[in-house]
Amino acid sequence: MIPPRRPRTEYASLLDLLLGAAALLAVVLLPLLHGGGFRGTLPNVTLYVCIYVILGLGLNVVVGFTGLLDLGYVAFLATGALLTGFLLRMTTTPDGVLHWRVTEPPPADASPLLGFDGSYLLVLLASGIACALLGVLRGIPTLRVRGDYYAIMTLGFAEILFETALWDRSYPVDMESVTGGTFGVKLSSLHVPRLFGRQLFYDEPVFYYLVVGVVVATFVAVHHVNRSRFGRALASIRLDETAARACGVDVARHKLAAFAISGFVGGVGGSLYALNYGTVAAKGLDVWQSVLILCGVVLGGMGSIRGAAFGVGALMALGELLREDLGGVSVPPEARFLIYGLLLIVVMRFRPQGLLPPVRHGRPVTWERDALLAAETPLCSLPAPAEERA
Amino acid sequence: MSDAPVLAVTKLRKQFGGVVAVKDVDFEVRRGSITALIGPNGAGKTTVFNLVTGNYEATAGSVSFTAPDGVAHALVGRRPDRIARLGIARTFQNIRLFGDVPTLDNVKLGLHSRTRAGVLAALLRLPAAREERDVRAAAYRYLDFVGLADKSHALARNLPYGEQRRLEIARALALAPSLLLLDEPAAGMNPQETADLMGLIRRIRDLGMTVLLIEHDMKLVMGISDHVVVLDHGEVIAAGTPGAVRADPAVVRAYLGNEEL
Repeated sequence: MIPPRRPRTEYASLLDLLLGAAALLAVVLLPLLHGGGFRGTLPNVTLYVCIYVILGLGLNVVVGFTGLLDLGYVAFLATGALLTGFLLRMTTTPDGVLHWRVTEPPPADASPLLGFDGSYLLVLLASGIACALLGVLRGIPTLRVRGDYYAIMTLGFAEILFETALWDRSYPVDMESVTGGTFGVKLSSLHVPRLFGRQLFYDEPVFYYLVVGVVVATFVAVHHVNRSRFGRALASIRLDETAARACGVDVARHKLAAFAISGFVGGVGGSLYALNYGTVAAKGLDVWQSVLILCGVVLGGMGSIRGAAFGVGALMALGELLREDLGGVSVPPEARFLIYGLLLIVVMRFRPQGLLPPVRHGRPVTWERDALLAAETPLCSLPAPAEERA
Repeated sequence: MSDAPVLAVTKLRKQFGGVVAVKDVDFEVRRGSITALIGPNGAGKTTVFNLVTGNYEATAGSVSFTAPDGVAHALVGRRPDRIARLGIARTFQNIRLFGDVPTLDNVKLGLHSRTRAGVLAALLRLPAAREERDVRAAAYRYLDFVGLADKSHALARNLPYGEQRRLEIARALALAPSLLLLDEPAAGMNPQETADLMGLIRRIRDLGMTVLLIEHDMKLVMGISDHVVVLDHGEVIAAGTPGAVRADPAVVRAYLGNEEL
């Protein structure tokens, strides 16, 4: 008989659970307690922070779990956002002609192709899947490299994507008609999709709770990944690839799966990003976005889920507070990076593992160990300890 | 069970640029035996291990592994993780544990190849939970087998040296291998630890596993081996029972010098 209880190492501590529940409750109740409802600075900043927390959780799968430094995560954010913009901009006229060029205004009698209620969930899924595939495609050429070389390749990949997104008619492929080029894709009220009968504007309760729901789902999903057999294999790759192979871990396959998960989450985050702003331009999605999310993850503690969420959340909230002048001090936008930099230097100097590093070990539970040692398991053909000693 | 040797190494050769590290080596490992690979430093012993486990690709020659079901597998050209899954586990000369995680998780990783739960199961928490309980129970059993059950939650890197060596053996055993390769398991151990290790290796053999080990400690080699293969400058210069090898003048000249055995 194996007791159903899990050892403490695999539990979040009670304090963690309470703090997490309190944070979630605060975010859920915020618009109700806040005077302005879903309008105003506070709910806006919360949405913005939540979307970056999703991105941070996704980045952490590769950077924290698998131990590969990804400097090009913005590629997924941009792809998810631009794809969402593109899909929602597609229109058809009553006689069935499809208009998809975002650079041209749709005909007067056109209606959105994806105008039906709930279509956004499909768009969200499509963004995720597209970015998961992109993650695998990007991952294949990087499988043989590690460390700095991997980081440089991801950086290069993001730059290539960034540059190609701005290609106009003079290039072999007219990407501008898909991405909107420098001006980007603007979602007018005609294009904003409906969910439960409400259009998903940034100040709609439906949108707010959709984002919060995605944060929670992502958190739970990466938590399950981390403490599963699959997550253990990712950790083994991070700690020692040679030893991982000696344990029978197919390193390439596990890396690609991690890239796919990380990409999926990035694409979903990007899609929500597009709706939150109502307009997306590749111009604003440059390498600094990657660096910012990465800084948040490092600040919170690489490999730690609550750390990544907290780090990215805190960094983005801080940036917004400085921008919005909520703290009573006015800081020019350019100085924000100065403050991020200082913060990072201080944290790295005094707490290099991050503010909330992963908990790698707990205390053994004696009775549980004894019960497990006495248990029958198909995975172990060794003689039972008692038999052998006798 | 098959009578064929577990491992048959034929004309195995490895060149690094102009250096021939392993020069047309032939030897066999009989099923259920403890075989030792000995030789002076730089003789090519670890290179042979790395060729068998797929960490290096052979320049020429072949390595044939016969599984307990009698099926023979050619190992040259196979990836290390595939070779591990065939039932060949190893330890490393310079211990390669997952230092940053508890000892129990190190053993759980050894069980990786024999479990199945995939990504989707991880995401959705499908029946993987059942498998996970078996994994935990088995991991404790392997830890207990090497005497580390009460260190289950210590980080691997915090264990004393001798215990790290034993943990590495537990991790390798967790693959349920039919052939276990130990690369200098007694290195850095005191006489008491070495004696315990000899007992452990015998217990492993008694479970029906075949053991191939590299070792410099002659007391251990002569004490537990059924068969000894001596390498020097990448070539096999002698092979046979410990007694025969000890008396072989070529071995004495190349390796043992005038040292009293």
